[in-house]
Amino acid sequence: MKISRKKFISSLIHTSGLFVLTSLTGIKKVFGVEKTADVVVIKTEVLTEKSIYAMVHKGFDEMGGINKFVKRGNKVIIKPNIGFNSTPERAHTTNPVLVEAVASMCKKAGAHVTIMDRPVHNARMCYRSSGIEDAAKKAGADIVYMHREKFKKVSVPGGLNLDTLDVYEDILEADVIINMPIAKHHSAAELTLAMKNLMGVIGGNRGFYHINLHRNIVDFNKAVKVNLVILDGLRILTQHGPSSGTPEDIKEARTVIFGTNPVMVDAYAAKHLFGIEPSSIGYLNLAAQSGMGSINVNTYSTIIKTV
Amino acid sequence: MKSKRWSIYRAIVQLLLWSVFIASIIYLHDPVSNASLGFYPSLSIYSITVGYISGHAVKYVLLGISIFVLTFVLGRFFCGWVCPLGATIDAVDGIIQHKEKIKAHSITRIKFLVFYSSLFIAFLGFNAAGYVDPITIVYRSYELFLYPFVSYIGSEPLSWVLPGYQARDYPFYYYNWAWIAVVFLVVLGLSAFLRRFWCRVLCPLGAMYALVSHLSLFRRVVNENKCTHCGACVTGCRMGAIATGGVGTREHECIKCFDCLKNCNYEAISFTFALPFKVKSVEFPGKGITRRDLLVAAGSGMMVAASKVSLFAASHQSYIIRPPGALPETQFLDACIRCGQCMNVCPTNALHPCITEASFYGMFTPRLIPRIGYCEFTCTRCGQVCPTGAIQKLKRKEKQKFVIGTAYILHDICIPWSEHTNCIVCEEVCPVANKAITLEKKIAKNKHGMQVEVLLPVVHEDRCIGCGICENRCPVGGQAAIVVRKPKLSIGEYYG
Repeated sequence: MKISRKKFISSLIHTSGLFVLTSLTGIKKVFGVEKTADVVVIKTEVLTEKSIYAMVHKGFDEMGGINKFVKRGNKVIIKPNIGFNSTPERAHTTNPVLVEAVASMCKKAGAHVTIMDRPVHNARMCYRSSGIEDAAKKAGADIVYMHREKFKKVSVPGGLNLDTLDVYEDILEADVIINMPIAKHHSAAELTLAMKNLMGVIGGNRGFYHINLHRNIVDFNKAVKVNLVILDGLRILTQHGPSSGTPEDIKEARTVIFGTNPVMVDAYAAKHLFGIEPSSIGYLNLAAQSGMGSINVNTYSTIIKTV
Repeated sequence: MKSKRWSIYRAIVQLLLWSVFIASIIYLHDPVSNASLGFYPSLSIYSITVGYISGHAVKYVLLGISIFVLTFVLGRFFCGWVCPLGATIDAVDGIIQHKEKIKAHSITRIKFLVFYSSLFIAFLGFNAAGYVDPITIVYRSYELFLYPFVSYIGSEPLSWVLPGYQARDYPFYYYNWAWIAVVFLVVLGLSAFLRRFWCRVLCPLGAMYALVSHLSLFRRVVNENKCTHCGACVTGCRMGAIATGGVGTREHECIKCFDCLKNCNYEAISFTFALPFKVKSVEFPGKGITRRDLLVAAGSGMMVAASKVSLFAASHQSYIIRPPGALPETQFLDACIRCGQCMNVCPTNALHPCITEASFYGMFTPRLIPRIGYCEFTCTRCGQVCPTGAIQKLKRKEKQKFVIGTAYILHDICIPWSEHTNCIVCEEVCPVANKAITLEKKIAKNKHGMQVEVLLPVVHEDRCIGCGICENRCPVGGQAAIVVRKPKLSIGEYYG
């Protein structure tokens, strides 16, 4: 095969051009414009208080450092799942040690941290029995019992089922919202993860939201934008969720998933913690259709680390 | 003891103890407080006595008995210093215009008749403590009538004291509260005729103390050389305990408020320890009680007691649901002293007083209304606080198997059953470990004529304990599409 001079020179220019382009992107990397991974997955071998703290530290490091999310003097709201009056062993509520670790890290970053949820059961009992009250005390964070009169009407941009929603005042005023759901089975939504967890900042009759639940969940996420999702997959309830289940239903997954897009975190958790195809879950499908994020887990850029 | 300051000290102590009473209500209302600290009904020796005779003793008797023993020494001090109803009546007396037209001495014997007749029917097994005991009346009224109002108006200042004060989804209230208010306001309003009308004329606990107080050792002594018979102490006495002329004392009526010390301008009065036969009381307690009075008291007592077995009797077909751990219906009605504490400590506002739903005899007993509040799965507070064991003290494990009712689905209005639209709220909230409500998949046509897969809730009666959270949370408006009815097992039986 003969290569003409013209062709040789042109191919030379093309390849050198490619070199230049790649080197340019390299420079971009050096200056820190690089995009972090879609989801950061931190695993551990044994569940201890120490390892959970280490997981949170590692997770924030991989996400690009806590200062990327929390600035000094910020109002940070941590929204764990404290939905039910049950003890941490039953895996209905977010692990209190995890909440404590996140809250104390935010506190160290100089933020004012508040922890709140709107539980199904009596809030005072839920906060106490879930261990979140003690965790907040240890971390130096405040807890807030939502007051029924402090919800504000907010319009839902492009709502699938709802035009307006009542959202808690503090959530609207917060600088940073950290959504900290626990991953568990849910009889209506199939799984309750980060997106479903936002029901806890919405006012009104919860019962009504369960009719057309999947559309409503997408609308919650359109109305409230969270800055960071830290999904508790340490011990997950695989059956009889969200509010009962026997000890056999609980699986130790020992995973914490970090991410900024709740749809992606949910899709990843569904696929890798529960082995459920994300496209089989109604609200994830609807979210992907309305362009809130891809649910094709294989295309994600992931960082998986073990502590 | 002669100092005029004693009347002020008494008022301060009375106010302090009243504050303790209020604080105990607010404290117990907090859902994470220690419910076994509900001691107030056991203050009353009357409740203890009548309850003991009728077969269901009050659990904590130490406080009531020690006050009774102290009465042998100090006289009827309880009424003036401790009793929260007495404090309330004193406050009302300060406001109300008194007519004082009734001849007090003609009617003060009624309280003894109330006491005797309730003692008499206690032997027949009727516990009158729930109706006439001042402690249960005042406790019930403050908890179920006044406190919801105060908490609604004053929720902001209260939340400064109690951080979790607003941790309820809705303002709480008690069904039938108006009837409790009527009883309370009548008791207070009687003061328009006579100061401390209730205490002087009707209170059976006061009658019990009066009988003892007649012989107590701490007595009022008047120096007849100094006394000018001006009558200042006679008109000033809120209990009418001083005989005309100012010298003689009806010791059984004296509540040791020391107002006479304050009112006397000649320093003629002092309170000293003296033997009852040295400083004699001018009157015997219950003076003027005739044989006819006693017969009337016994007869009317019999008529009240008959409500237990007559056409008003406890109905086993009654639709109401009792709190978890409640004794079988008839025993429950006998044991309950209607203090209303179980309703105050209930974290979900599920328990409400009955009026005639559980027969006339069941007045003011607690019932669970699931549409207003459900029974919290992990909570055993009502059993802990109950002073008589009408609601048994259950361990958490036992409580979670104690059947108080069974849920039934009304298929005509249930959203998945009637409209073929998914809802599942009842299944989601069901707290039983392996779910007493499960979902059946079915292919059906929805209202738009589309073939859809719908999840239909089904109740498993063998697992349901009747906590009522499904009925409480059912999104169907008004009448819930799932209702809790009395269980097919009788109350008190356990599912293994």
